[in-house]
Amino acid sequence: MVDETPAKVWSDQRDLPIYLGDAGDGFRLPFKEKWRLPDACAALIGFIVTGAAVTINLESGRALLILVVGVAVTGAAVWLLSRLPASRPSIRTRINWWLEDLRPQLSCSHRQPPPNSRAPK
Amino acid sequence: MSSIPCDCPRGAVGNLRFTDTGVYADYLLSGLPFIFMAKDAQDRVADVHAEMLRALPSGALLSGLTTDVSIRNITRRMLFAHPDLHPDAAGDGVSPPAHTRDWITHCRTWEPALGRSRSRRRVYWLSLPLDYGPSGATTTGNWQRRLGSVIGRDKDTEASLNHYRELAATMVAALPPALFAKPATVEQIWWHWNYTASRHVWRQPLPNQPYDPHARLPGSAFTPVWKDPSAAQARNRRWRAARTDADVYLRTYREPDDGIDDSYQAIVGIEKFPDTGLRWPESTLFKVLDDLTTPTTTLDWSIHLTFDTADVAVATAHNVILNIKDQARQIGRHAHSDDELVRKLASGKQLASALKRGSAERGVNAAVLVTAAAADPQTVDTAITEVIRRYRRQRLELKRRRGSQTTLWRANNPGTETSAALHEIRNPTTTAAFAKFVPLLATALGNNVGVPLGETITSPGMREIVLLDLLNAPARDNPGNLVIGGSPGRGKSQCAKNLVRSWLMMGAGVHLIDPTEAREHEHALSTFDDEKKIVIDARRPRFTLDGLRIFPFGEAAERTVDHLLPQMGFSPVSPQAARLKGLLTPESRHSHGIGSTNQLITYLRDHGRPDRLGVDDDLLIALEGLRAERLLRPMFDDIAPPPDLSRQLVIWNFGGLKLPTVTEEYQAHLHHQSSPSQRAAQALYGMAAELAQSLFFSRDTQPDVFIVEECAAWTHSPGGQKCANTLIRQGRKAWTQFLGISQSPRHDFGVLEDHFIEQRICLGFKESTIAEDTLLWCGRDLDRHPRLLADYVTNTSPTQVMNHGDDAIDNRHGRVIPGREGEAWMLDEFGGWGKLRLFSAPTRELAELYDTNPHRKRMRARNKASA
Repeated sequence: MVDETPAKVWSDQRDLPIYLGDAGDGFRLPFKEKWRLPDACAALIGFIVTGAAVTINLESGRALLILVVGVAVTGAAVWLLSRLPASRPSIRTRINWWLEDLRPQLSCSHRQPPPNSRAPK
Repeated sequence: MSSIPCDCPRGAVGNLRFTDTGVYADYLLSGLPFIFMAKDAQDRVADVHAEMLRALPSGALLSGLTTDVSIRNITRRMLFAHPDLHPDAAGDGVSPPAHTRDWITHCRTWEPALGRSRSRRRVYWLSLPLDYGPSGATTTGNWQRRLGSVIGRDKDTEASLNHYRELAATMVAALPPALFAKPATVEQIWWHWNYTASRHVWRQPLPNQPYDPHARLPGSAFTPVWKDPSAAQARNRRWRAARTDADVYLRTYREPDDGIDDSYQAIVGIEKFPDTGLRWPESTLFKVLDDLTTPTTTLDWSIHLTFDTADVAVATAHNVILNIKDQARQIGRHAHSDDELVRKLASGKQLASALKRGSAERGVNAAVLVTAAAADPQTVDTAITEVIRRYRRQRLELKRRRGSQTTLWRANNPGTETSAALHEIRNPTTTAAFAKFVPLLATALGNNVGVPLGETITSPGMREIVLLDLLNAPARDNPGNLVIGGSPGRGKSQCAKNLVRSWLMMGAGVHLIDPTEAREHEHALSTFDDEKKIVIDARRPRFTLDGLRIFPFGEAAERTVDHLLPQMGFSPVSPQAARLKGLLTPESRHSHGIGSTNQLITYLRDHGRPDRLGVDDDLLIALEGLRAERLLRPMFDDIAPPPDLSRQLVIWNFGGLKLPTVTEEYQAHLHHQSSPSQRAAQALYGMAAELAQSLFFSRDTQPDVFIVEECAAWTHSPGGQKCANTLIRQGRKAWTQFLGISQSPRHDFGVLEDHFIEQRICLGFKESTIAEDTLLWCGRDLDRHPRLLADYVTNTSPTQVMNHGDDAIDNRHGRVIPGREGEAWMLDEFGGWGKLRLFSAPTRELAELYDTNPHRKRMRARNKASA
């Protein structure tokens, strides 16, 4: 039995960007209001790596430099990764298509070499 | 089979397609009439689609393809309209009977005209994956397939083939019968490969060989295709193939030996649908492509469907809902900056609710692709841009993704669709909600065989030739009644003339009443064999129409009395009527030597008769009065020969005769005011119709057609109504058809038992009220389809009244836009409704004969004189 409801595809249920940042116990990730997984991971890894490198190099005299570089690299990585598209196509597909477009390859349905000197017909 | 993996089929057996990634069963589905149909009919179509979505296995690929129509096939379908040529009657390999030659020749004269129409139609192709078991590519099915691969079953053994056939039969048996799933033949699978590989430039019509489940086609029949993204190879682009959106297409080419041109295809997925949905019943998403198709482009769609059980789909929907709720917390104060999350939450709840509605519901995951193809990149860019723009108006989002074309091409080819990144455009829906997009639409009108009528233009891009098989409607137990309506000059008579000539060539008997002063039908049929036709002209009598002479002896009295009494002004139950009947009984006529009406008058005048009664004088006076009426002279003529009504074509020219209306006839004061010529006209009309009816009803093994041009006067006269009702109601049993032509169909045929008039052709009307009334008469629901009325009034053979303000003389002013003549809406024998353009005459000679435009006639005469 058909009712008068509209024809519909719920595409809006597949393009929900997932943000992190609130642990639910009152803790929120600092510096940014909207964190997503890649930039949060970059921040976390950057924080740990920078912190570890600074700690290890406290005596070497390059700790400050490492800290500055680490913070800069982490910041840059966070900024870059936060710009990754949140909706489909997925990153993997985007990269595949980008590579296909960057270096176009002729493909054959039969894995045969193309006919010689094939000019458009 | 070879072990080299490739995109193409490795072979085909019956409707089974073997590919490197699995075995598929291919079917053709029938579309369903939908456009501008009544609510119940449209709801039924949605129900059929919902039922299909509930029955299809996961992984089914449904496509709407465009095929050219072979004119040879159309001509063949025309030929088989002849009752003695139909394969069921004639048998295969039997040479055609001699009397069918005229029809065969006539069909040939139509070939060039039909060829010019460049007819194309939409076909629906369904591919079902068979390696996953009955439920298709579900989780269980995937395990089953892996197990099959591990065991290493040979797919080509007879046992495997039987298994696949049984599985396919089980799957397709679950589909709704209204879709008439028909197994594709190996030739059609071969056609489908070439079509997919070289879309638009592969212009072979869909093969129509009968299905043979054991027919085989080897893999070598499926020749290679090379895919060149953005034509990078052709343009020598080694880097960055697509530099603008216009470059996002795929060039495909074939081996030189195949002789197929390069195809340019742009493929885009529908990525986003509006979260409010599309209003039913205007949600015919895929018809947009039919509308936008042009002769230089092909626009196709494909839908890859996977299914989840309602429980799985609900669980997924619930997860998304939880995520949405969580996001309201995660994005903090931004959550209240707009209503995006609120809308998503409401939409998610709606999906979960819809999935829980009824046990028949299940989760549908649809990936919809649109493919535009053309013979050059500019055309394909224009076509796909227009599609994207048109869909954007409906808030659908399609994007041309650079580098995606080779991948997306794989989605259109069964066997490669699993690696076409379809998950990127796959979206959840329900059977009931997706069914309302009604992709399987039929735009065909008319009959399977028949005489040429026109071409469909309901979807301007898909023009299909319409055949009309009025003559054989009684064989299908349907009444063969047709009405053609429209304002003057819109093409009613032109259409009728084409039909009449075709019916004559088919051997049907035709009696035609033409009340026009122009005597246009006599002129139009002037080249028809004189030996087979007779023209009876009320103004130029050459034959007697004395009822006592021309009707069979046994029924002459009854019929003559019926016609004479109203003229004489006597009631059917009057003493005069009783006396007249008594005098005209066969015994009385025999004994008194009354062989004609004149002899009846002579007999009445004889005062010396012993049986003379007082009413005889009343009869004598009345009959002598009628005999003095100029128009009625043929009814009292006992010298002229009777017309040979057994000839195939009888034309009654009643130019200028005026009939009394029903009101004038039945209201006493008006009845007495009707003029003698009106009453005479009524007698002549009545005589013509009665003669045709008695002749046609006496031969029920031959098709006959009774045609009344401009039948307002006839259907509004009492005798005409009676005769028309008998013809339209009982004609079916006597193989008698009726064609009426009118300027106001509802007004003229609403007074009859018009439910027997199933077929109606409505041309343009200048008066919008008559147009509306005509649509209502055809059973259209104008509240549901307001666009239908708007289209009918403003866009059916529209005239152009341009005003540039430059005082230029333009002979197009006020005329129908060239190329748009003869547009009409048609209600066919099976309740189908659609717009078509009626064919003009098939040859120039016939066009000149049919033309009634005095200006063009004058120009032709002038040209002839100067030549």
